[in-house]
Amino acid sequence: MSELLTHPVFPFIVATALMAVVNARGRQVLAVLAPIVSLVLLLNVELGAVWGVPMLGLDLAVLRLDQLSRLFALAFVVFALVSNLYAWPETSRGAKAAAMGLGGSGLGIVLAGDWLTFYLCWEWLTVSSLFTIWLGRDPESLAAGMRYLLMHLTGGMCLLAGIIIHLAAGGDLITGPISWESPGGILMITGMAINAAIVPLHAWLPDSYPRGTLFGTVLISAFTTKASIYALTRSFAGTELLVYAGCFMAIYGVVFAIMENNLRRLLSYHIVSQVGFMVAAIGMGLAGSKGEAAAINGATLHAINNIFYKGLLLMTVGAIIYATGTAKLTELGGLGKRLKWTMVFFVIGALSIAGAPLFSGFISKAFIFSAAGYNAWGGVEIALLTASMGTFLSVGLKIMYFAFLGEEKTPVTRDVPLPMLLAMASASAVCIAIGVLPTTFYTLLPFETDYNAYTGDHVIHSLQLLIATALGFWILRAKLKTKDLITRDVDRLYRGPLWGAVQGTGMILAHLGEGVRGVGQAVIQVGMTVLNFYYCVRWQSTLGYHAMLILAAVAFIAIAAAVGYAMG
Amino acid sequence: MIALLKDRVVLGLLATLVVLTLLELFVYPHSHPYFPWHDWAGYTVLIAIVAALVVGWGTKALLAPRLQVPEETDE
Repeated sequence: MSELLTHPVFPFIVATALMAVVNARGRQVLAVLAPIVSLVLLLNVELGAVWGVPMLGLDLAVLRLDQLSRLFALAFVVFALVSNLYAWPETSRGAKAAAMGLGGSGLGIVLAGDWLTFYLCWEWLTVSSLFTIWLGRDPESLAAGMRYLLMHLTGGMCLLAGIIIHLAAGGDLITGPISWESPGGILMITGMAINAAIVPLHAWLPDSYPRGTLFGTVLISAFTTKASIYALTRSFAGTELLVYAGCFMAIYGVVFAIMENNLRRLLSYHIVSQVGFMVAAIGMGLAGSKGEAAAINGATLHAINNIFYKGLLLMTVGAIIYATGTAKLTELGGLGKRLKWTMVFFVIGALSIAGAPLFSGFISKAFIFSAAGYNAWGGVEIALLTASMGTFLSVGLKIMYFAFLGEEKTPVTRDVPLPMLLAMASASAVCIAIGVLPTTFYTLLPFETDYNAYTGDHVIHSLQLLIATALGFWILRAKLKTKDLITRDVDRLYRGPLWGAVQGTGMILAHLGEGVRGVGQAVIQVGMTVLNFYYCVRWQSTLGYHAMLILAAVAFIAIAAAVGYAMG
Repeated sequence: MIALLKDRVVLGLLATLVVLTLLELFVYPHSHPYFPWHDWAGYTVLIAIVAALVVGWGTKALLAPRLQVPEETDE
């Protein structure tokens, strides 16, 4: 039990609680200190360690460190440090507590060795993300947060139901491979698919991420979808359905990114697209197949790279918003003159996401394309090449051309603070280090490999793709100029009918007798209570966040007791 | 088309692509051709240009007018 005090998640739990009592400077220091302490604790855990905790008749494995969990855990902790350094100017109690919650829950998910601990951390991540979105503190943030909550509660319920069915059918409590064709497996993969933003379950992502705080969105983007990628890799590697889903979302994301005018929404669609690469690679990672090692190494390395280059891009966009007050491309131009370092870091992030040689994305994409070759998935190669083109077109070229070059439109009113620049420099260093010295990082990958990404033909193909895309962009640049419009996504198909169904049900109930009216009144009462709570947490975010965590802990104990009882 | 060929940026990019394709053809052929198109020098160029024109133009010309609306009329 004393091991729990040295669990790498523990510093985040302590920091989350302390955020409610320490002063502003203390909160800033604590937010950077917690990931450092966590990193030290993580490095002291032996590879292969499993920490069991008996609880309510169950043997919970609160920590299991193998190659896969260590890779994600290291990336999460290091990125938590970088992003909290970036968020130095943010001092609000709620934001800092939620940031600690995001770091701790993400780390908890990848270190969890059993399904119940995994589920507890999964819901902790949902609550932390929700508050980060609500802390945007405007009506749009509140509405987007509610939609986020509905989607993730649905996903969480699917996951929980799947876990219970899996356990009831005699499945192992320890996390591991599961067939998606089993009743429990299909519910679990659905829950994970919602969190991974697999199209068409993705609309919550571009809806909510741009509404979060400037600093918090950087954190959510790193943990939510990547925790799902970890879970899918752990449990559903080799599921063919994921190959099709991944390719579709890779192209879908870039198509919407090409249309987007809001920089944060544009990058949100790129998260969908990049997660598509990972999902497709996981699908190709069938155990025992020739391409298994390349696929799983590619998926995991791409997830790690994505944490840093997408985080870096969101940081640079955050710096633009911080300096100018706008995220709209139509209102931006000529920023390169005033925000020189931000532009340099943006270029590093853009070349990394585009897969340019000497940058991190080049290595992980090479693994994924090799996996497609080994497994004879020709269509995957064409689809992912198309998505790569779209990525460079809409990030590296479109944002660079319209925001950083040309005439200044919105003036820069304040300089980007030093901690933000240092954080962007740190993330840039990781992107370059993985690109220049890939073999140094190979020892962290799930499968042993001596893969050489820097062959002459790989480098030439990559340069051909980038330069041909640049040619396409130059020819179409007038057409690609964005307008001050927003893009409707698939959620528009169900938002209206869903609202109509709720209203319609209420009207039908209202016309049924006294008894049903009584039920209706009770439902309204419950609704009002929830609404009151919602408005309470809206203004008392710190208090609300901690209250929700306590409620979640109580709920977890109740669920664990029920599962323990069911399993005898 | 003629105007495009007078554009220095277009000419520079085209020249670079020609050089890279010649390098692919004579110096660095595909080291592990898995698919038939891996034997064709410049297939990446072809895919990227076709994809850029189809996806880039198609998205803006066909999808954007149907999916994009002013923010105030959205909700």
